[in-house]
Amino acid sequence: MSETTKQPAELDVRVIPPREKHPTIFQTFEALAPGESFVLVNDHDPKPLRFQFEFEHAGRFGWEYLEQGPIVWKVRISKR
Amino acid sequence: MRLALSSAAAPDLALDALIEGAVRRGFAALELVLGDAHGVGPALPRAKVAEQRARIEAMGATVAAVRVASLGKAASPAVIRLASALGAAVVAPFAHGKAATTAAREGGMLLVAHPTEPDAVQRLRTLCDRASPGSLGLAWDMDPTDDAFAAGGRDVLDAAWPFLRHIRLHGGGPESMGQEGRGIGALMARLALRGYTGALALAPSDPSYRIAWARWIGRRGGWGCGSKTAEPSLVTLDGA
Repeated sequence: MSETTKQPAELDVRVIPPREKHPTIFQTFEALAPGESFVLVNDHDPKPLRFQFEFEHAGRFGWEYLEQGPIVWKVRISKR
Repeated sequence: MRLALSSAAAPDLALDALIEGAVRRGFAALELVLGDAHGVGPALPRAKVAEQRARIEAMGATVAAVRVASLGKAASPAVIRLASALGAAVVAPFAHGKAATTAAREGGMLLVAHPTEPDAVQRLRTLCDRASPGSLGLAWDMDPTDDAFAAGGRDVLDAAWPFLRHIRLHGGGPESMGQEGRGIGALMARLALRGYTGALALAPSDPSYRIAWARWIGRRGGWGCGSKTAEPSLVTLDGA
């Protein structure tokens, strides 16, 4: 069996208990090298998360919606 | 990563109802436990299996795995062919040389389910290394409320990589609040950063949670025959 091909990292936070979601997302972001990204998967529009990113990482992140509901939201979050 | 719903969450649901519930909750895939009421099984004619696969995909899902409870089923060419026709792997609780050989011969993939035991995974890796490429992999049955998860979860991921193709998360969904502080967030971050592309199938931690799961996936109607009243051990998790 060959090794799993490296895919864009996808973090599905729907299975994470609510109070651990944001810490997990920021932990994943911190682990990225500049220029890298991951895709956040959630069951609602993560606007509050974006506000938190803008507060804590202003100018150092990218935010691109890949899918916007109505059941699943996907956002590519990149590190600049 | 594909989030999947195990039919173990609603073993009495027919296939269409299971798919509808899964899609309603945003799942991309199904883990079909052989013998559940979905009716997908190795006795079905090939054309019928193709029809079921087309219906599942038309409704917006795929089949991530066909799960069997016995080693005999895992070594059955009919089960391997069924899974392959669905575009899925077979997940079995054990494996031996014959099952791996059958999977390789039939062009399918057999995934050996293992608990959170790094030593057991190391032994299974030996089997994977010896098997024909693409025929044998690993399926991690994890329960974050189990102390073994906190102690050895990271080691299991390291040991199983890159053969890890399927994860069954016991106790997610409506039970996820019970997993707070158990390390599931850290594990999800590690899976993301490694680029895990397999399925993550949610299943109840115990059959007694089936009412809570049925409500969570949006099942309508009652349970018939007063089953809830008759079985006070069933957990409802009202408000989940």
